[in-house]
Amino acid sequence: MNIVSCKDRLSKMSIMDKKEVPQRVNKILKAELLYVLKNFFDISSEDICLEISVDKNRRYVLDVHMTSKNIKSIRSFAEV
Amino acid sequence: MVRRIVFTSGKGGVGKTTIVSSLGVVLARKGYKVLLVDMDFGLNNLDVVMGVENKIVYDIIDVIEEKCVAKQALIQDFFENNLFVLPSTRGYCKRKFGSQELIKIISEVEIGFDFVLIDCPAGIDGGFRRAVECAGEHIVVTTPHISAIRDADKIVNCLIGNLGVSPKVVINRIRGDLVVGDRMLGVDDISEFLGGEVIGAVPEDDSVALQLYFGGHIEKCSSVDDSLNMVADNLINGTGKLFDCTKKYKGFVGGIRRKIRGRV
Repeated sequence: MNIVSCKDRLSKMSIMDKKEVPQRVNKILKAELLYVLKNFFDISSEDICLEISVDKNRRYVLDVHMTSKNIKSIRSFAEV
Repeated sequence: MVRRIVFTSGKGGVGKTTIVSSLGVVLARKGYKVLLVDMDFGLNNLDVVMGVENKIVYDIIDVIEEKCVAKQALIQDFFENNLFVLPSTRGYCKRKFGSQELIKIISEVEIGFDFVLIDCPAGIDGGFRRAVECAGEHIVVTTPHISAIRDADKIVNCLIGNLGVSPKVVINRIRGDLVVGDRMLGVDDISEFLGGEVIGAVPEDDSVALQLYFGGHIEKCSSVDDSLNMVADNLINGTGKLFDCTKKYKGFVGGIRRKIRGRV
């Protein structure tokens, strides 16, 4: 076993550790995003899907998938 | 102005207490007034490492329970007049306490000191939080071993994420012969992985183990003393210089040293 494989092992362990994002973070983040996005789209909680992952450089990546039938009108933006 | 610095690690046995005590001695030898605070309640060892376990009358828990005032619990070091220890000898307390109570105690006693070095317990639970919340500066101690680096990574992320602080790193127990032989991660590898600023590289040295067995302070002019002097200079002046643990294992003579150490 050489030092390169040791670095790889360490990096993989770190990615595994970081992947364990608490369920609560997902829930709160989803609620916060919903609060913001509701100003722009006609959506409910079921229309947003979040996924937090970790890339090979050990950075968090947030994927947000949202679907909505309607976008709010320009006039309502001004009111906001 | 007094600087409160906590030494944490996540993993136990990486040398937090040894670094705190030895760095305290080095700073005191440089003329600074230093207070060492043991926040490893129940698994305290700072008093033993400093050799003052028989001098303890009151400890930090007694101060919390209001059996004495904070200054009564301070113990002066045998060798250095400007080095003091605030020990903890018990793991239980009649009162519930958090970081606010500990900050109040430290604020009472730190007047006149230049440095307050806090020995944090291992782990990432309540004791860790209490200790890190008491300090203005945070140093993560790790060794070049995978388990220690992994835990240090978690601690660094925890400090950045929860406290918004960017901790510094001290790498302890580096085997220069193994680093040169590409059999142990070096300072650059660990620094790159953890992302924090490395302010100290301390070599593995048998004299530290002997010092812990028989009491007393680190030998002057030993490799550990030299490396800790560099850590102290980094803390005081931000020199950015690190001890080269691999230096004596490079070149022809270094190669012979490596072979001898490998056989021992």
